[in-house]
Amino acid sequence: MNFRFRPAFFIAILVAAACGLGGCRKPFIRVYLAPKDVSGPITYKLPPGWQEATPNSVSLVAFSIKNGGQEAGVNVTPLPNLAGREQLVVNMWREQAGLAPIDGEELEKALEPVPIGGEQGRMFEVLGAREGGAPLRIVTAFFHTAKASWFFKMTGDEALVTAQKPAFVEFLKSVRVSEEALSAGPLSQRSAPDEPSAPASNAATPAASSPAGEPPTGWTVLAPGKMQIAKFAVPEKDGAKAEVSVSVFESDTGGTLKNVNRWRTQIGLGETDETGLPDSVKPLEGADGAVLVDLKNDSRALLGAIVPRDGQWYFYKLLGDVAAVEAAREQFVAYAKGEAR
Amino acid sequence: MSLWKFLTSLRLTVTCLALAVLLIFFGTLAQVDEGLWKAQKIWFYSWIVWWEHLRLFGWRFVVPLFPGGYLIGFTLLAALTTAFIKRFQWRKDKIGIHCIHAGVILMLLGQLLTQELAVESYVDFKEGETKRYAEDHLKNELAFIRDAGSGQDEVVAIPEGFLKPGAEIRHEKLPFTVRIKDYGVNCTVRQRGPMVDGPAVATQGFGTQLVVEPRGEVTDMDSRNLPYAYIELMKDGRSLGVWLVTPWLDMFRAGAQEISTERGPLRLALRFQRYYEPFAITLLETHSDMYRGTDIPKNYRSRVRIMGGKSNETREVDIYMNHPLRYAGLTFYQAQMSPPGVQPRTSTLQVVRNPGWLTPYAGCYIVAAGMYVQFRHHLTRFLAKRAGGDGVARKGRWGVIAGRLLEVGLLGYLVIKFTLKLFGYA
Repeated sequence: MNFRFRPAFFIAILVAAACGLGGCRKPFIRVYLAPKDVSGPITYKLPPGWQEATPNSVSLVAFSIKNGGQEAGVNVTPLPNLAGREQLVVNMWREQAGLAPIDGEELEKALEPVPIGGEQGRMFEVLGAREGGAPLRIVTAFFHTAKASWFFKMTGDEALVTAQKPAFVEFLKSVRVSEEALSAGPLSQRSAPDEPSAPASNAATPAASSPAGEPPTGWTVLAPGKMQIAKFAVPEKDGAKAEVSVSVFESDTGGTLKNVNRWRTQIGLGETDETGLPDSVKPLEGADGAVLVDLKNDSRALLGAIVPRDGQWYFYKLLGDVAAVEAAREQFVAYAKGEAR
Repeated sequence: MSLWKFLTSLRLTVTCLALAVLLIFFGTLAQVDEGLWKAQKIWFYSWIVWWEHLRLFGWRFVVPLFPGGYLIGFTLLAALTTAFIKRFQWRKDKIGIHCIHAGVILMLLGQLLTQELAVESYVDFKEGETKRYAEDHLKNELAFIRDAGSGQDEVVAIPEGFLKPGAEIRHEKLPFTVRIKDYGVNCTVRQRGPMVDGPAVATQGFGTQLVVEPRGEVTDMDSRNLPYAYIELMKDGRSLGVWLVTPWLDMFRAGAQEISTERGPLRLALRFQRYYEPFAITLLETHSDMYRGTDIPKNYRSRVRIMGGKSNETREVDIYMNHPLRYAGLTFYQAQMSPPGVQPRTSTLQVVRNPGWLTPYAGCYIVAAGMYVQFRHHLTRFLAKRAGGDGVARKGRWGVIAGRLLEVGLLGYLVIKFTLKLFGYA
């Protein structure tokens, strides 16, 4: 076969290739099928009038509802599987509303079935009063999966919560949770989707399911507050009350002096300096690097423990009336050291 | 002088190489004023650099035009190829030269291929989050999204380049015409003050409550442009309303803007351009090391789980510095991570799809082989001439065989070692 090379033909190919090059990246309208967005472990349809709010340290998402001066809030919180411990959960919220605990028989009457994201869940209501006496209604729904128990709580002014209950039920139907997203780490390390990053010194590590083992006998589980991973009420002592709270941080949040001074102000004491620290701070025996802070001001007392553990700093605080604090001292120290009693 | 003679002249090649040196010098300095991406586009991804861009640090060039990267690269490629064809001689002592030419041509072609076909995007996610797509941080798209059932959405994605004020966009999948009323490359938005800001441009959606404040284009590497557009949807000559679309709405978590159509609700969003993949990637764990006592990162490591894909597999992989994941034609590099102690823990992976990623390596192999052959040939001839014999007589036959075996073994070892390293097996 005779092949004769033709320069003109070759140059034409080069020019055509050069022209084609310009057309490679010409934008065009694309049409495609895509899997639906799953932005986090939970998706939902937002009811009208609800606004997304900043979730607390243990919730995934939160919403606020306002109408005519009344307010309500909704929180969605996944916790380690609590199947079989519904009574504990219900009584925790009853306590928040100032109501007495109920037994198993009453519990069955209180729980009503409700669909939650295609699963069968249960719902209960609590009507109580705030500290000032204003009526407070809490509607809580939950369901269990293999990995978690999902809690959906609407709480707020009685009239508004009652009016929003149908929307809450619709919201529950629209919810979809992603087991896959939760499987990435322990539930205790779940954090709110899209919540803004916080500086290290302010960042609470959301709850370990039990920060130092089970709480001592006689302590009542309370709903943890902001930046807290656990909260308990210790038994009353002649009408004296006290509560224990636990927080965990990635750093020592400024050192012992700063934390002692923060605690001192909480019971009305003035700040101290390094020379005054030994008066109220001593090592916590049996826990390396940990300190026990002992503060008292008239009828109020605060026992604090700062415990470095596994690269984090655990802050335990027992605050309340002197009699109750003293009665719970031994249990508190054991709990802070990780020895439940 | 004919075009063929012009292309095959050595002068053209040398001129192109000199211009390439100048182009790289000026294009690199231009990044100070223009930023990396824009400077690359103006100087390297263009045929001509026009006079308005020919300035550095405020000083104007004396020439009105300068050849761009495409022009120089393509001319050099043409010059090399034509010279290769014209001067090709099938002789043993020329094999090395031919290999070097072929290798350089392949490298130039590989670079062109990379420029034209490579796509760079990013996956940003929090620990526990699963993503099925990567986002382009430099391009945006106006997306109309319809529920297609079976857990899927049908997306009509209009590139940002179509959003020119006054433009009308029609597509068979859209039940209306999209008229662009206004567009800006960058903006901020704020809440509308009803007594201060006058009537809103948008008549539908979240835009009725917001005011857009246009901003100039940013070009530095640490900033993103957040564009906006006011779009009017027209059906049968009737306006359905004006919507504001901007990525800011996503950042505010304002939720989706919806339009009712005969085929059900249609969501619309101006968002970072997405590239969906047939697999899911979940960020399982992040790990960041700092140099002791400093905030200087030493190592970022992301543990991810890949699920799905063609083989429907599930595998967990660590991605960290100099240890990217190559999967399904994509390369995942560790790009960014939230500082230690900051919650939630986030990681950003750079995702590169580059069908031509092997061509530079292949080109290097061929050039190296050509240089070796050429130098070896000259060395052998030189030594033979100096010895006054053919070498075989002096070393003996077994000496020659041993030398050849040693040479082949050493070369083979180097090639295999480098190839295994290249594919991540060593």
